[in-house]
Amino acid sequence: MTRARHYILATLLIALATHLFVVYLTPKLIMSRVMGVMSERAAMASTADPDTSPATAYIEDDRATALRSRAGWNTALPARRADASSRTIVKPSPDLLYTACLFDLSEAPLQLTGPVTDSYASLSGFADNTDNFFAINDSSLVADATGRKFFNVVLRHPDTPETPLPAAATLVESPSTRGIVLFRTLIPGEDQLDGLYRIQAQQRCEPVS
Amino acid sequence: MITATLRRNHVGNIVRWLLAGVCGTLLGIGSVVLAARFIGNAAFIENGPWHTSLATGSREAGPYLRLVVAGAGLLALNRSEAIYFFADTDSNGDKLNGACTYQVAGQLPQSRWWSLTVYGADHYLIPNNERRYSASPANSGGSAVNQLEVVVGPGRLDDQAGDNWIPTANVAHFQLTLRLYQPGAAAATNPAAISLPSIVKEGC
Repeated sequence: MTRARHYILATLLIALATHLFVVYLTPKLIMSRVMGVMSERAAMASTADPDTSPATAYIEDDRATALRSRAGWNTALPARRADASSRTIVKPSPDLLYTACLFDLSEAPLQLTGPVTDSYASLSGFADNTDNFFAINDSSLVADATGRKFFNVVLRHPDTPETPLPAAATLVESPSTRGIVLFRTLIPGEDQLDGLYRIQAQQRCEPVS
Repeated sequence: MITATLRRNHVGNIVRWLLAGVCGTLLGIGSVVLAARFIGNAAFIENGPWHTSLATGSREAGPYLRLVVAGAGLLALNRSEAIYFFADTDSNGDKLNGACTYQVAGQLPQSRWWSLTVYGADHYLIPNNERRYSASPANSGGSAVNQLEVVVGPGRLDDQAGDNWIPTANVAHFQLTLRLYQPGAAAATNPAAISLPSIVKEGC
């Protein structure tokens, strides 16, 4: 009898441990898998990638080198408009242009910049457990002296080494060293798509050195 | 004789411990699925055929809602930025079927921008010849900013004017996602009480 009780107790303890393990680790595993897939694709940096945005044609700086040297991390990854072949992230909106940035703040803070137009655009951050820890949109931005509005955020983690931060940037603290940042740019009409790809080409995600 | 008994006991013990391990693991995984279904889904607020959660994406999301969102709504924004309403059934409670035609119409809550998107059961966009996946103020013709009137189904309605149609390509089951960007206070604080479009089956 006592022995049977031991086995039942062991079964229940294993069940409890498995339960907690699965509940807390699954979101992290899903995020890590998504980041892995995005990084692999980005590192290939090939135009054959079906998710490559036409925006890449408008990128003038030497982004390709950064892409290769950082294996897709800490650099802007513009995606083309979502359609039925977009299968990396669930429920993509075909009405938005997404630019992702896989961040790793263990060595340096990251500066996120990008101009906005009159229509909806947002910049948001997701921790390694999927939590959306910050989101700002164009309507909260203040125009500069020339009347232009742009995102200017510096992302850091409490463990990120201290560095002088760029002026005028909004400082955001991430609860995890790794995660995903997303620029969302609304497509208010087909005729504006090309112009928005040019905006997308200017969205940047660069380590602060 | 004694050695044989001992060996039998030994093997019996190993089998029992293995059984405890396998049963425990299965029980653990099974209980997560049940908990996600009941506790995770209980975090959703119902409004007719639509459901939403005020905690989606936010740090207040409990572990079970986080699990549901990680599986079906990864990288979703928190409620100050956007609210997502999901529908798996029509206004009568019947599962949305890609072979049937539905009229999705009604007043939308105040927001800066909205869109209605059709997703397959796998949470991805459904391939279709027209490459149409959503309705929004951009492609809904003359609709007023906060008015939705769109046909969702395998084909257009016979008497339908305009191109307010999202194809479902005859898939067995599909879902609707209504996104409200920068929602007004009513939708953001009390989504159960606002008026949302109805989803009426016109035929199959």
